[in-house]
Amino acid sequence: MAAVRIRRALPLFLTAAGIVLLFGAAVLGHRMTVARGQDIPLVFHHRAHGGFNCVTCHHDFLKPVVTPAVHRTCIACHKATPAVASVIHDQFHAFCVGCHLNQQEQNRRAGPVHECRACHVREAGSPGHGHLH
Amino acid sequence: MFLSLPLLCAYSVFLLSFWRARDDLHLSLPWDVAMIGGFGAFFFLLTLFTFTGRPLPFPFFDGKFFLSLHRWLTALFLGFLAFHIGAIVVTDPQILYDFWPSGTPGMQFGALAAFLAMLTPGLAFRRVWRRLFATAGIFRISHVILASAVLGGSVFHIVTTRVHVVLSWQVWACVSVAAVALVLPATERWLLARVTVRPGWRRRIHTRHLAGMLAGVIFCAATIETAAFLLWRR
Repeated sequence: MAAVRIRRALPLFLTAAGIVLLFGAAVLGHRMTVARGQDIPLVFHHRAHGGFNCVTCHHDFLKPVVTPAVHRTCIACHKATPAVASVIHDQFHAFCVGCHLNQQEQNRRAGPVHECRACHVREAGSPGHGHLH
Repeated sequence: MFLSLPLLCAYSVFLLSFWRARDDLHLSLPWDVAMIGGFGAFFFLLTLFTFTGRPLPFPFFDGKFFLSLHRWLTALFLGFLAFHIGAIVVTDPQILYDFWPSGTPGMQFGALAAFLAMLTPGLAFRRVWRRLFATAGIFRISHVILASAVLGGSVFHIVTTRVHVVLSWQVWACVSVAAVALVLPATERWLLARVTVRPGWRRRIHTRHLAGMLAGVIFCAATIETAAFLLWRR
């Protein structure tokens, strides 16, 4: 009798447990790897953003730092900060996309909003791969 | 064919509701085509919760019609889903980076929902479920759990990727529609138990082919309507 009950309940348990495991593994994997996951190749045109105030992006512009600026990247610092590491993807996208949308709403020229390949490209000889300079 | 009109009306309302915001996105045509393919897939996923394979009082057809309609709608759902995934991967292969563990949860939940969407009909083949599940009732419960996971993952994907569903009312509408779809099969059963059938009325038999015809009409009309809608919105 017990064997029959187990035979009946096992598929249901496996189905529910499998779904929980799948989605749980995705969330756990994301949390574990987000701070050290591989960067997507990215080219950021610094000159194209020259018309904006530096502190718009460089929020720590006036803070004294030991490391020379050329070795510091936005993503590297955000990854090393636990408080923002888990939202790095959403935060950077929201920051870029939000600004581009604002520009579009004011009928100004603006950068890409949602298409991956507009920013995430690997140009030969570009130093911007995986880094926001 | 009387079912095709309400279904297409529902599809029109669905497109108009969820395709309104962010016209300023200026997405390329292949992106929009891929996205609207995903919307189509979500619509047909919702219809699967309406036509669950259980006979309804309208149309007064035999059970084979409803079972066949459920299968055809599954085929349409998987077709649109494959189109959505294929088109976006071809257009923007960089999107595959999102499937790495460090990618966005919204994309990963979408990928898992797509995987479960392919697994669920696979387990529903008679030869398969008879081997895996002791009774038809247990299979149905398992099928409902899997289908609910597909729906939940899809809604999370749609809401968190924030391409077209971005306004708060759109998000709530999307979640509400999914919640209604989840309780609909149980509600239908409750209502069916209380529906009184006129004496002498019998369900029309040999109607399985009508389900195929209905699915074909819906597919053609939905494709034409989607293309026209996309051209109009652009």
